[in-house]
Amino acid sequence: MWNKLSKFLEQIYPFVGLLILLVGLWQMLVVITNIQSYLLPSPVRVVQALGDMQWRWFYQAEATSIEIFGGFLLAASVGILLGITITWSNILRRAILPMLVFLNSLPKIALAPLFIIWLGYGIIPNIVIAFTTAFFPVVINTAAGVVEIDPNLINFAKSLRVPKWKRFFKIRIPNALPQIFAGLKTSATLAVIGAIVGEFVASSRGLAAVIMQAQGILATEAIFAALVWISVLGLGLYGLVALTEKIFMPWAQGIE
Amino acid sequence: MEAQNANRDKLIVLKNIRKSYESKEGSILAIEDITFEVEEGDFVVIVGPSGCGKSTLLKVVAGLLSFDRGSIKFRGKEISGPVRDIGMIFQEPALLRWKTVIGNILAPIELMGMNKKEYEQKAKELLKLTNLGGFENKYPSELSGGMQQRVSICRSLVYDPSLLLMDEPFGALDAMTREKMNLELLEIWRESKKTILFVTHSIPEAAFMADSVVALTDRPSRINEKITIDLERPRTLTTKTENKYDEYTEKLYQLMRGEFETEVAG
Repeated sequence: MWNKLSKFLEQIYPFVGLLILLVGLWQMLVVITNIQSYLLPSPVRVVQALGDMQWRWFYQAEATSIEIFGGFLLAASVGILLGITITWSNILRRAILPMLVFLNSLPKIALAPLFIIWLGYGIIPNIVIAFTTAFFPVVINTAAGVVEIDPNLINFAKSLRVPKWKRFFKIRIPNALPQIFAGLKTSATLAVIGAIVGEFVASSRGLAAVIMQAQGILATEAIFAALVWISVLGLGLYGLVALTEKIFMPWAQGIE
Repeated sequence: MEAQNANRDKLIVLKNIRKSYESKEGSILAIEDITFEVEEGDFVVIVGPSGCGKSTLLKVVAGLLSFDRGSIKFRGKEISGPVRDIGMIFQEPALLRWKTVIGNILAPIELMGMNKKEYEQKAKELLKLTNLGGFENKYPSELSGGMQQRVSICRSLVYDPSLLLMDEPFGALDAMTREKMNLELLEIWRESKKTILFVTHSIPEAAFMADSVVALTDRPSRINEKITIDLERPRTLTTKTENKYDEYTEKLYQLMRGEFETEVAG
């Protein structure tokens, strides 16, 4: 237990050290130059803003988390299903893949006003925007993982007369797990972007809505505080995906 | 030899097998006309220059590739696809990286929809036979190449096919490990009484392992000659010091020499 803890500390102390150094430099810079707080607030002021409940941080973070996690879960499930579907049959692939490529070539941000017209104002359209931003890498990684396989794994199963559907679920899909998780990790960061973009376009609630409000009254320290919250949510989601990966793929440990 | 073994069962009989495949440069003839048979319990080695179509031939026998002409009879019955009584071992171990050693060995049982529980004991015995005891819960990535190939051999033995096809199974291993694996394989063969059809491009390996060697020509493959290797069993490292062993390898080298020259010239 202690051994594990000390190993963990050994892993993270260079990062923590650098972080403390940078924040210290930032504080010193603000004090020395006496810069206006609306241009660059000091770290101390940002921390004060984080504790200032007039911004209703928990209420705002709740909305943004629902958008991020909801969008991500949709992207993950639809993405994995679509990725599997387009590798199962050639006809389905030829029908669906060009459509996906076309949709992905659109900047998703440009679709945001449409979703707001269709779905109204609030959390739901933002979930959809997060979903559209995040789902493509899951589809592509899942499909690539299923297709790219050592042909002898398939030959091995064929020599046992294992039917196609069973080869697919017992060999191709488990073999694709590393790539599926790579896609999910990319998707996790994109879901955060999607949710924030959605809130920027139209929202009265959420961390990006706070950023807009704070900008209006030049409360720059609240913008920084909102950024801290967003990165906490983003890291939290990424960490959950990485943890799920470890649970699903115990065999891949030590590769890092 | 024919008369002497006339009463033994022919396990597999290949007749006039021809195989071509399509490539960007048009149709390529890989195997021209191959006829030979393997008797039950024999260790037959197919040897030939690299790229001559040995692996293709083995995949044809495994039912993984179709062929243009000829026939393959297994236990007297014509076959045209994979048969569960024929197992295949590849040059790369082709293990399922998400399964442990024991999970890999039991994978054929699981994939064929049989009860894994009934085979656990057998899997453990196979691990012992191949000196893998204690490794059952490791993942393939934690094993050396030689150990991975042993797992792959166990995986083919667990469901007890009578014929094992081995496609240069030790080709990716270093010389020392390879020598050791050859001895281990002969031991497994002796204990399990399997029939083995083994492909290699190593002449010493062919002469050391085989009851008989089928020497192929360069592409398109034809049979150059069939040689019976009459060395005492069980074979040990001292087998390689016998004069007869040298004579066999010399003869195989001479057969191959023509092939090597065409290869260099081409």
